[in-house]
Amino acid sequence: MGASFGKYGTSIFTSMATLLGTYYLACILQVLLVYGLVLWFAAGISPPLHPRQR
Amino acid sequence: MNIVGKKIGLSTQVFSAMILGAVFGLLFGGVMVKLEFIGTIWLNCIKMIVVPMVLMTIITGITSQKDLKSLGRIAVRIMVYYVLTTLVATVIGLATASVLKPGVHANFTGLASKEVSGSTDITIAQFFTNMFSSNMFVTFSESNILQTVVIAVMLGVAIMLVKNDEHREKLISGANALCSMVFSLIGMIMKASPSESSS
Repeated sequence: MGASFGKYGTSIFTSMATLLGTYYLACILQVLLVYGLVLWFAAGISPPLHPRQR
Repeated sequence: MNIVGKKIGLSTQVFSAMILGAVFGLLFGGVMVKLEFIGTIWLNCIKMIVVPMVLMTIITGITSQKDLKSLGRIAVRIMVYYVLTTLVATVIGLATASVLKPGVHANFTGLASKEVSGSTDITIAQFFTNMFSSNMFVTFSESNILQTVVIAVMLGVAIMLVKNDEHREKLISGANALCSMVFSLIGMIMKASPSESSS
């Protein structure tokens, strides 16, 4: 992050924020939709309760 | 990490480091550009651990089965799971990128361009042939995940088919130990992620 801002300055902020936002949104969708459903149907574990069950 | 007696979670550390990295990049750009190698080292470590992680988790998953009968179903499930999750991940990635369009505001002037060759049509026979490696070390060095999955399934089955009970148990406990080592290594690498985010 420091190197990117050091090289390109504030002009990179919008594109960097959109890129990171897209990446994190895709990851959240994958975790919730795919792994959540697999956890629910294949293992019978409720995804919202999983972190507490560990 | 503890600050004033309060434990700070890894995700909080990563986001804080990203913000600090951005601020430091704007204030001390030259120094931060020189520190870019820290991020490259971390990325190399992440790439390095992918193949061992896939390999060992699948092997231990197979060898944890009680008998050979359930192995066939497990192998089919692994392949179906892998193909479906990869397919859905691709769709999610493409859909998210199509909706948010992260490249619209990006300025690519001054960056090196590279011509990308078009996709080639492959037959189903070629697809299945490509799943099987002719050299497992080349597969690992090229980080070919599909071939790694097939190799892991074959190694897991091979361990289960070892007739000598003592040797089989040693191989299973060895695989479990290696799996623990891989996850310990992932933990080490993830602890260093805030420094990577800032650099």
